[in-house]
Amino acid sequence: MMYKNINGERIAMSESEIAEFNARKTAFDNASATKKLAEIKKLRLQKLIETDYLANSDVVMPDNIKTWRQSLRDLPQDFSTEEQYDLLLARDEETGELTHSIWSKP
Amino acid sequence: MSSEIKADKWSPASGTSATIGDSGDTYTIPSGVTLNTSSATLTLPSSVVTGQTAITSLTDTDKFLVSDASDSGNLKYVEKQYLPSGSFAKLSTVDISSGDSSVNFNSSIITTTYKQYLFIFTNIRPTTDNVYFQFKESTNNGTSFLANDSDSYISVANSSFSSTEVQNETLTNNTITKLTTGNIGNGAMEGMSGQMFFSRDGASPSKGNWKLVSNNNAHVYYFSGTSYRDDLSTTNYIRFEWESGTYIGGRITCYGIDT
Repeated sequence: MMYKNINGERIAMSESEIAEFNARKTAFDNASATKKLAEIKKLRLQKLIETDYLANSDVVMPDNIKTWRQSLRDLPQDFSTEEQYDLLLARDEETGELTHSIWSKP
Repeated sequence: MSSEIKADKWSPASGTSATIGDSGDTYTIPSGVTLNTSSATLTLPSSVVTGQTAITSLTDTDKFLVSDASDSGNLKYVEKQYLPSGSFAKLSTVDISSGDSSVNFNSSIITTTYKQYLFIFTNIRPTTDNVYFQFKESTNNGTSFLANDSDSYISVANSSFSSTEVQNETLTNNTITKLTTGNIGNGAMEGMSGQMFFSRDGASPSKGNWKLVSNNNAHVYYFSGTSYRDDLSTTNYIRFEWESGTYIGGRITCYGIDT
């Protein structure tokens, strides 16, 4: 039995309401990987922007930074499953910081 | 045998106190008799109040005894309808049970009495991680919901953003109105609280504005937003629900605002 709450009273959902509820869940689940990849790309952009200044003509970008930036650019091809997305988006429960090593600037 | 005492004054035989009758006796003052204590000190038993039948709601013509300061303190009564009242009337408090799919306020709450409503959200939490929070409106008491006519704007700040960063999201012609982005977590520390004002008068589009706070992955999120629904009919039913899944718990309180 599934319930909705009306003015504080639990009432059983109708069949059509359950169908609508399940459709939203399905849509959410199907979009899960897409949303995670979008989040990863947003994080990647932030990391690249932080070191963009090293690409200026009057600055020499260290090789390890070049390699790291390239690995960030390669994220979508190197990580392509939802399980891998979860690893990239994993965070420390206390600090909220991303835990995957790829986010750490060398 | 009956007898009658006729005297112009009763006084204690000795000292300054005297007693009338004994426990269990009843003395009746007949109709038409005036018992004038206006200049005396009259001590009433507390059962004058506590001995009466209690009522749990007031009608407009229920009466309260008052001493009229503008008339030498003479006793008068005032009716409930003339007592000052606050502009906020608490209409419904919903303590959400785990597994509830939605929280709804129907036409017995969303009435023509008020044109403005305030919803207070207290630590509401979804079962599904990283979802957004939304509401729908109905003009037929929940039989169906208004579709494709909600325009809204959400502004999001997060403690992990840079000091100048704010993210915005604009939606047009939606059936739902999104109150947050998909960043509401389901962790024990990640409940969301805040408020939403909602107005509708049946002659202009309904409008909402809100401020909500949540915590996700140890970062505080602040959502503020506005919405209007391009429909002139009178909303009489509001549904709050998550993007997906049910509630874990929390409380939503609805107030009507006398404008």
